[in-house]
Amino acid sequence: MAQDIAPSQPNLWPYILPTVLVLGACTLYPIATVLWMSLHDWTWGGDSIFSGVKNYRLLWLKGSFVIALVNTFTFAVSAVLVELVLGMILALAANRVTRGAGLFRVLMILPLMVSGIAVSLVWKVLLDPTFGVINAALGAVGLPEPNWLGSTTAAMPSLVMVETWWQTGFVFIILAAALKSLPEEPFEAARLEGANGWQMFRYLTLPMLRPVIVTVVVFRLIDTLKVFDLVFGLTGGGPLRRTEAVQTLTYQTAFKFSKFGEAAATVVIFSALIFAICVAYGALDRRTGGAK
Amino acid sequence: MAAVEFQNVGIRFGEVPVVRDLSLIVEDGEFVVLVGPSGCGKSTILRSIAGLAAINEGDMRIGGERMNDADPAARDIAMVFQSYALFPNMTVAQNLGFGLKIRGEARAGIARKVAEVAAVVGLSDHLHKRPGALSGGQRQRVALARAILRRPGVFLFDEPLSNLDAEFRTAMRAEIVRFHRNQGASMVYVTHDQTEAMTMGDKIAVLAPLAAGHKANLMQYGTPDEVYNRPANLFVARFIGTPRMNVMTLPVDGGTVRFGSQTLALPPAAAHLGKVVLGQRPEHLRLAATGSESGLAGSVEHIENLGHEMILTLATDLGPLILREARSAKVPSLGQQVRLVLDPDHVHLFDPVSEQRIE
Amino acid sequence: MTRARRATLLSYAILIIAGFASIFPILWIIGISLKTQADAFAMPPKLVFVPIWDHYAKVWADATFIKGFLNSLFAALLGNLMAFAIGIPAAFALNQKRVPGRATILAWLLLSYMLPEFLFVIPIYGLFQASGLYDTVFGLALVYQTFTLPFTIWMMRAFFADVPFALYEAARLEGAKSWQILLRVYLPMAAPGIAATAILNTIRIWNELAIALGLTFDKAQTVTLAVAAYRGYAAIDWGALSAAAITSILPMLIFAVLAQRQIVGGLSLGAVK
Repeated sequence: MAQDIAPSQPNLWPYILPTVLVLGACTLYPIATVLWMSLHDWTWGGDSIFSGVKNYRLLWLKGSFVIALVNTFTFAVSAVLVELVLGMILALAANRVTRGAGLFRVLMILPLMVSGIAVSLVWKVLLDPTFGVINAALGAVGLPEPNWLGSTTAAMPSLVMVETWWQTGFVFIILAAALKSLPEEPFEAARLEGANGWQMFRYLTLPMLRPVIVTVVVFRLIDTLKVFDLVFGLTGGGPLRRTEAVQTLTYQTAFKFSKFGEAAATVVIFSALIFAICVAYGALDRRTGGAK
Repeated sequence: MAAVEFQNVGIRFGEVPVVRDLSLIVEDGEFVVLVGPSGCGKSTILRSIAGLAAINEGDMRIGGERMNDADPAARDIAMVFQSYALFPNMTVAQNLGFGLKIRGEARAGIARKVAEVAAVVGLSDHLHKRPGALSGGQRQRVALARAILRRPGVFLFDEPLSNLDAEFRTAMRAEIVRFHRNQGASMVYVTHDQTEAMTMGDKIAVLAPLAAGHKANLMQYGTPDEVYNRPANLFVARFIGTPRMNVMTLPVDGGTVRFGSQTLALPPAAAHLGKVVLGQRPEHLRLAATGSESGLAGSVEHIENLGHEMILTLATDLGPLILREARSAKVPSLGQQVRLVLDPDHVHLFDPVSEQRIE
Repeated sequence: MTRARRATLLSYAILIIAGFASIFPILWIIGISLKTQADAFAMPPKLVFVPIWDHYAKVWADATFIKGFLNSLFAALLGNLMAFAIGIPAAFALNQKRVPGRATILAWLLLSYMLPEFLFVIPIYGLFQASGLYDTVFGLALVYQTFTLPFTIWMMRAFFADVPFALYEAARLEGAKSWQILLRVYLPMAAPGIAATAILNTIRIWNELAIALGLTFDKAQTVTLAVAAYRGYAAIDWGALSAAAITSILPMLIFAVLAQRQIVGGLSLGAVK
């Protein structure tokens, strides 16, 4: 409706100024400092010597950053894919049923309430190779009992599985809400035209949900790329660095080995990557006319 | 003194002009209706009086004082919104008292004034309720009572009846007119409904959208009778009246025009033109007696039976014409050939180029 | 059986399995937290056992754990207060159309919400060491604004957007100033929104690990760090570990059950609207 400027439109800047100040202090200062740190040999209390791109070159030479980057993307992409497919199936199923939908919703949001570190402890107990209930169950029906978190091949899939248990509820809640908000007429019209369930999903539901799906995927992708708690709590990056993530590597580099310059360089590269995803999402969102 | 006065006012939304060159005076105690199709700027004009839309050119005075840039609260106006704009989190009493409280009035005074005005509009039993628990008509009354409490020089109404159902609308219409008579206050009332305009206003301002190529919005400003009986131009002629006025462009031949076999002499002002636009309202067009050869031939294409009267659509050489016939008269059947006769005393003539009325 | 009926039955089957998978790990750990050491390690696992409260008693006798619990409570309280005090006026202003720089600020908020934790932790570590904010709950709540403030502003802006603009105008005609309109009209109408936002903020803060790990050491340690300390028990004392985990997540689980509607509404608001 009319959003005209009244003749005496009040000045709203005092309302925004505190936000700008806090946001500036909380983002601009860290960004500038981290850039500066990444270009220096940095020690607490001591002198900081300008070192150019040395920190960045070290990241490349040592290789651990590249490994962490590959691990992180593997983790994020697989977890988001699984969460999206599962979340969609659950949302479609919940959309069909009338009874028990409320209870199911509560069950699905419960894992979202749990901190990453508590999730890790819970699953560490469940996945214990010797005393864990999961291997006990597998053994009882004669299936192999993998060393979930301890073997180089199983560790990453295990991490993805735990992440999926933790966060699929989020994808489900959003897709279920989006499904509910879809108009009914197009589906009734399609049914009159003789469309089957798959055709309606493929040609009506999916296209109509597209903007929501894009938003959910971007949010989950960025969140999983920033993975820290699960790795910290479940594997500590092992075995043999198979699950080392960018943020756990950064933490180790800075707080364990006190190489703040190097840690700053990892943060710079990683933040730039996330920034790029945000920008791409912004452009995509504007083009598809998605969420607001 | 004039209650509201517009002098060459222009209003733009960004670069788009919405109101241009508006000059209009609302006299003290007058009920003026702004009417026109959507996009004609009627709401914008009203909002500019309230101070909710900025005026870019010209002057707007309230009670003789220039108010272009005054704060909305300082304008001696009160407004009833289309949606009523009642605060859903407050009771009726709190809604009514909101302005007084903001202006720092003492609690006892607020309670007394609220009780008084509630009695006036018949809301005394509903003061403790929230707007959500009221009917549409009651909400309307709360909005009205809130306006009354301000004791403004000018009441502004923005399509206040459009959210009510048809039956209640008629009752509310009468109530607002009665309210105007009792209060004697000046009122500016916006509507797109010409029935409201005709039945409520002391004066009607008919407005046209600039987007349709008009140079200014105000097409005619006068009493309902003037606007209906002597429309100033084709736009007003077409806009006011249901069904619409019949309009046909006819060649002028020796100071006369021909309607079938019927010849009409034109006044001097129209006689020299090559063509003239002739208009006649459906209730003035008549069917000739059976067997008569006078007037224009036509066949009955469509009949709308309204019970007390019939609306006939007739196909003729001059295009479809609409005719209104009392139910008591003998009504032709569908497809029947008839002849139509103009009432020469109720002919409206317009210049085909300027579209202005010719006397 | 018709196709539609089969599909509905299949849906129920899927939901029951998923619901069970969702709740089972939590229930199992609750079980272990109530088992004796021998019962916990029993093979095959014991489904029927005599519950004991020893592990909870141990966790609640742990001063570090209690301190973490309280610190997290304070951090959530303080973080919410800051976010609302700063964010509500901003949300009110950013809800109006013609505010210069509106798009920039909204994009900036989104970015702040998205950037990785250690981008903030590493430089702020030095700043906090120097300014005395290191290892304080206040400093923690301040850094938490990198995500609570954007989230609060977003949510509140969406709730304010549901308030009809005519109410704003009506209040202005009555002579109300902007801050009066915010306090008397917008805030009461957005009250459910404030609740939902506060709940989600609290969950986020309560569960936060990376920033707390980097910026606290001892006296401002949060509940997540207290729980993390039990990682070492993984191979030995499952009971204490489970009791600690359950104690830390219980407040949020209760939240989830009581405020289900607000949480679901709040989560879906950003993406669907």
